[in-house]
Amino acid sequence: MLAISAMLTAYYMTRLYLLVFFGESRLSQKEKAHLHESPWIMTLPLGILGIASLAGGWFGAPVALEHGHETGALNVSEGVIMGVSVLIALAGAFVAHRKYSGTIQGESPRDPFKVDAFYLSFFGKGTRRVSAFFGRVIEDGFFGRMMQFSGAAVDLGGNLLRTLQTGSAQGYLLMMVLAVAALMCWVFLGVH
Amino acid sequence: MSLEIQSLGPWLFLACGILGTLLVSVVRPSTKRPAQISALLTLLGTAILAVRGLGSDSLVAMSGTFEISQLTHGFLAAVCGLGILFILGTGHYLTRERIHLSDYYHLLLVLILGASILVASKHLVVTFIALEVMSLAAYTLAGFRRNDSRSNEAAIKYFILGGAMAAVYLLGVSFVFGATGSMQLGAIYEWSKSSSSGHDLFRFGHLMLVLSFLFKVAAAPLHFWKPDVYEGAPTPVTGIMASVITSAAFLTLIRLVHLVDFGASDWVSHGDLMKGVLRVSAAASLIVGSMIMITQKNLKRMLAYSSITHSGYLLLGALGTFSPALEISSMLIYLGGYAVMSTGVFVLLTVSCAQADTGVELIDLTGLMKRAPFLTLLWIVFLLSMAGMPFTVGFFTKYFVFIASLGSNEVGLVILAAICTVVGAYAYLRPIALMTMRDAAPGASDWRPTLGSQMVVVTAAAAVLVLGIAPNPVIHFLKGISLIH
Amino acid sequence: METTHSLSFFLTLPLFGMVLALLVPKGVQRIYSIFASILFFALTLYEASGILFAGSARLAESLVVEHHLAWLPEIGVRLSLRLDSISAWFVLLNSLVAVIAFSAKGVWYRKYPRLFSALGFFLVFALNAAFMSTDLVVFYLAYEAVFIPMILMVGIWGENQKATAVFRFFLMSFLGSIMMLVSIFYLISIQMKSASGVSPHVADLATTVKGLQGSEAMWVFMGFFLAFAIKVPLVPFHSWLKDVYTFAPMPATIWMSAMLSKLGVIGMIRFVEPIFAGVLPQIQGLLMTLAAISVVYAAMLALKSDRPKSLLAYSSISHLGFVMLGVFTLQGQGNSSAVLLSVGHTLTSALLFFLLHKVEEGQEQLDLSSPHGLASDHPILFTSLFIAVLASVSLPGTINFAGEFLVLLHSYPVSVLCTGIAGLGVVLGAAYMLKFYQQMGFGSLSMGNSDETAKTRDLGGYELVLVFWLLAAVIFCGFQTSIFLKGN
Repeated sequence: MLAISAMLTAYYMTRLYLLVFFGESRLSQKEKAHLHESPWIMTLPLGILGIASLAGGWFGAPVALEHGHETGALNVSEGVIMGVSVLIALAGAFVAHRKYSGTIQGESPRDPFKVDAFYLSFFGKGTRRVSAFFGRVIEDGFFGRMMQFSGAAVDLGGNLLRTLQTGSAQGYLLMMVLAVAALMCWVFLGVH
Repeated sequence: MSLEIQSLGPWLFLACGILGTLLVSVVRPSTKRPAQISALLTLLGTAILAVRGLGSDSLVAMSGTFEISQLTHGFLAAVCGLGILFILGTGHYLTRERIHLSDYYHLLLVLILGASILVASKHLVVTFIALEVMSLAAYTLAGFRRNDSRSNEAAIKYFILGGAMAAVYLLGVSFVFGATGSMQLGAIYEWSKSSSSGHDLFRFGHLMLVLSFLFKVAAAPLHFWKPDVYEGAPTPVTGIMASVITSAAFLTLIRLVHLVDFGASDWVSHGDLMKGVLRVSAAASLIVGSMIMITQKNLKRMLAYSSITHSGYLLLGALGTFSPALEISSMLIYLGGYAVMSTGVFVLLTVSCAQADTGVELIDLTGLMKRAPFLTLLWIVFLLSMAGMPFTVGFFTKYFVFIASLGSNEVGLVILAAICTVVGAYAYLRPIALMTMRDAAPGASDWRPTLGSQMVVVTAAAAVLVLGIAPNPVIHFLKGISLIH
Repeated sequence: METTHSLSFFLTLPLFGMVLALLVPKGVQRIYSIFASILFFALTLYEASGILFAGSARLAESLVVEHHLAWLPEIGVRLSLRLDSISAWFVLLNSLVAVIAFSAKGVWYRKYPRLFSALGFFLVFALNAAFMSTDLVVFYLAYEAVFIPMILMVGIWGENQKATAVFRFFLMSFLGSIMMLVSIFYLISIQMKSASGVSPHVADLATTVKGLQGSEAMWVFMGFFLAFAIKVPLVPFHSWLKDVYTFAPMPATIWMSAMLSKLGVIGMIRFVEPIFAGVLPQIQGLLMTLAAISVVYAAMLALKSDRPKSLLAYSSISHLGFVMLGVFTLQGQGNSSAVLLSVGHTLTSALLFFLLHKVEEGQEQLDLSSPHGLASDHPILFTSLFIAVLASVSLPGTINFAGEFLVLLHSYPVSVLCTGIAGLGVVLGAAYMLKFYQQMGFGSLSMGNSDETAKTRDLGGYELVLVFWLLAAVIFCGFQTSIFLKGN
C-alpha cells in the first residue's frame, strides 16, 4: 500500500514540476508582465529548507549501510529497502515524464471515486438542510409561535375580562349579587 | 374615665380640628387658604399626639368598643402623615381644576377620622358608623369635580354600590348578633370559645361581614367599582382612596375575619371555609387585575387595576395570618409600602397638564426622558417598585407576603401570584419604555411640576428607595405590632 | 479564612464610578469610563491575584476571603461575600469586560453619555455582588438588579426593532427569576418554622432541602433550574437571545454575552449543586442531554445566519452549552473545566463582538450572504479577527481548546453519547466561524457593497493595544492552564 502511494507521489510531483516550470505558458500578456523572481526574503528560507530536506534524507543512511541490520518482516537488509524505494520513485517519475513533457495531454480524472461529490452532498448539503429545518420549522415555527401565542393569549384574556366592566352600575350590582350568591351556595352546600 | 379621655387625645384633637376647619371655612368662605392651614395644623397636631401615644400600653376604651394600642396610634400617625403629603402636594392640581374649595379640606379630615376610628373599632356598630363616615366623605370627594360627568358618575356609582354592600354588612351584623347575643368583638370571641349552638347562623353573618369588606378593598369578584371610580375622581382623591381607605379597610377585614378562634375544634371547618373564600378572591383579583391592566391606556385606570392586583397580594398576606395566628406584620409591611408607592404615583400624576376629559394617558408619557428627565427618574422608581424589583420597597412587600402565605401552605396561589407578577411587570415596563425609548408623540401633554408636588414626590421616592435598601428598623417596628382580640 | 473588610471595595468602587460618571462633562465621558474601568481592573487584578495565581489548591484555599455584614437581621439576611477561586475569576473578568465594553465607540457616547456610563458602572456593581455573594437572597437581589441597566441600555441606544426584543428578553428572564424566587421563599418559609431560624446560606439551605419529602425537592429545584436555564441559556429556553443581541448596542451585547450568561453558570455551581446534591443525580442524564443539544442546535442555527451579530449570538449559545455540559458532570473537576471554558468564552466573545463592532463601525449590519472583501484594506483588524476566530473554534493553544477538551474529558465517563454530540459541535463551530470570517474578509471589494463599509478603519492606537493584550491572554491561558486547574 505504501509502496503504491510512494509511486503515485513521485508521479504527481514530477507532473507538477514539469507542468509548472516547463511546457507552454497559459498566462495572458498582462499576467506575464507581472512575473518576477521571488524576493530574497522568500528565497532564503526556501533555500535553507531545501538544504535541510536533503541533509535529513542522508542522516540515517551511512549508519544503516555500514551496519547492515536485519529488518522486520521481509528479512531483507536496509540497503535493499532503500534501493527498492528509490526504484519505485524513479518509476513513477519516468511515467510522468513520458506523459507530460512537452504538451499537456488529457487530465487525470477529477473525482474518480466520487468521494468529494458524496461528501459535499451528504455532509455539506445535508447539514445545510438540517440547519434550515431547525431555523424555519423549530426556531421560527415552534418557539416563535409559542412566544407570540403566549403574548396573544394574555392579551386576549385581558380584553375578554375587560368586557365585564360594562360601565353600568346596575350591571356591576347584578354581578356582585351573583358573586355573593355563588359564594353563599358554595359555602353552605359544600361544607357540613 | 379621665385616663380614657387622655388616651383618646389624638382622635379628639382630630375631631376638634374638623370642627375648627368647618368653622374657618364658614367664616371666610371666599378663600381656601385658612381652611388649608387649619387642616394642616390639625393633621400635624394629631400625628404628634399619636406618635407620643405609641409608647403607652394598650387598652380597650369606651366599654370595650375602641382599641387604643400601637396599631391604632401608628395607623393614625401614618394616615395623618399621608394627609399632610397630599395637601402639600396637590394644591396646585385643585387650583388648576378650579375645585380648590375649603370643603375639600374639611371632607379630607373627616375621611381620615373615619378611617382611624374604623381601624380602632372593636364593636360592629362602631365599625359601621366609622365606615359610613369615611365612605360618605369619600363619595363626596369623588364627585368633587362638579362639572365633570365622569366625576359625577364615579361618585354615584361608588355611593350606590357602597350603599348596597353596607346593607349586606348590616345584615351580617344582625345575624351575628342573633347567634352570639353581642356585637362587641371581644365578646364574640369569648362566645366562640364556649358556645355550642347557633353556629350556622353565625357563619352566615360572618361571611356577610367579610364580603362587605372585600368589596371595600375591591377584591374580585366585587371589584367592578374601582376602575370607574378611580378614573373619574380627582387625582388627589384617588390617591387618598388608594392609600388611606385601602389600608383601613384591609386592617378591618383582618379583624373581621378573625372574629373567632380558628384553633378550636368547632371552628376549624369554618376556618377552612374562610380561607377558601379568601383564596378564591385572591386568585380572581390577581388574574383580573394583572390581565386587564395590560390592556389599559389611561394611567389612572391602569393604576386602578394595579391596585386590584395589590389587593390580591394583600389577600395572600391575609391567608398568611392564619398560621401563626394573627401574625399581621406581612400585611402591615405591604400596606405601608403600598401606601408610600401610591402616594408618590398619584401626586406625580397631578403634575401632568392633560386635558381633564381624557385624563392622563400613556401617550402623555412618551419621550418624557428628554422633556423632563427628573420626573422620568421618579416615575421609574415607582413603577419598578410596583413591579417588585430589587432595591425598592416593592420587593420587600412581596417578600413578606409570599413567605407568610407559603408558611400557611398556599403554594398554588403563590405560584399564580408569581405568574401574575410577570404579567404585571409587562404593564409596568411599558410606560418605562415609552418614557425612555420613544420620542414625544404629537398629542402628548406637558408636565409642569410645582415646588409642593416635587417635594412630596421626592419624599415618597426617597422612602421607596430607602425602605428598599435598609428596611430593617421599620420591619423591626412593624413586627412588634399585633392585633388584640 | 479571614474576615476582612476588603471585599466591599469590589462593590463600592463601581458605585463610586457611577456617581462620578454622572458628574463628568459629556465630552470626556468615553475617556473617563475607559480610564476608570482600567483602574478598577488593575485594582481587581492586584486584589485577586493572590488567589488566582496561587501555586496550589491548598494555598488558594487558604487565601479565600469571606466577609459578612449584617444587613437585615430581622429576616436573617446578611451581606455575605466570598472571594474564592471561582468568584475571583468572574470578578476579574467583570472588570475586564467593562474595559472592553466602554472602549467601543458609538452613539451611546453622543446621546445621554452620562446615563450610559452610569448604567455601565451600576451593572459592574450588581454583577460583582452576584458573583461574590453566598447568601441566596442577596444573590437574587443582585441577579434581578442586573435587569434594570440592561433593559435601559438596549432600549435607549439599541437599533430599530429593539422594543419586542427587550420585552421578550425581560419577560422570559423575569419569569424564570420569579420561579426561583418562589423556590427561595418556599425554603425560607420552611426554615422559619424550624428551630434554627432563617438562614439563606448554602449549607443551611442544603440541610433544609435534605429534610424535604419525596418530589418536593425536585419541584423546588425546578424553580432554580428554570431561572438559570433561561439565563445561560439552554436550548429550549433560548428564544429571547438572538433578537436582543442583534438589536442591542454593542457594549450591551458584550456585557450580555460575556457576563450575564455567567450568572447562570455561577448560580448552578455555587448554589444549585451544593443545595440540591441529592436531586441532581436523578436527572443528570436529562441535563447533560440538554447541554449537548444546545451545542449542536445553536451551531446549526449559526450556520444559516446571515447577519454577523446573530451568528455570534448563536455561537455564544453553542459554547455555553459546552460550559453547562461541564457543570452538569457534577464533579469538582468538571466544574473547574467549566469555569476555564467560561473564562475563555468571555474573552473570545468579548473580543469577537468588539472587533465586529470595529468592522461595522456604526454602519448598517453586514449581510453575510455576499462577500465583502475587507481584509486587504484592514490587515491588522482582520489578523486580530482571525486569531479571535481561531480561538472561538478552539484551536489547540487557545484557552477555548483547553476548556472544551477538559469538559469533554470529564463528561465522557458520565455519558458517551452527550460527549459525542457535543464534539460534533466543535466541527460545526469551525464551519460557521470560518464562513463568517471568509464573507467579511475575502472576495473582491467590488463583489460586496463598498458603500456599506466605507467608514471602516483599521485598528490603531489604544484599541490595538487592548486587542493585543486580550489575544495574548487567550493564547497564554491556552498554554498555562495550571492557573485554573491547581494540583495539590
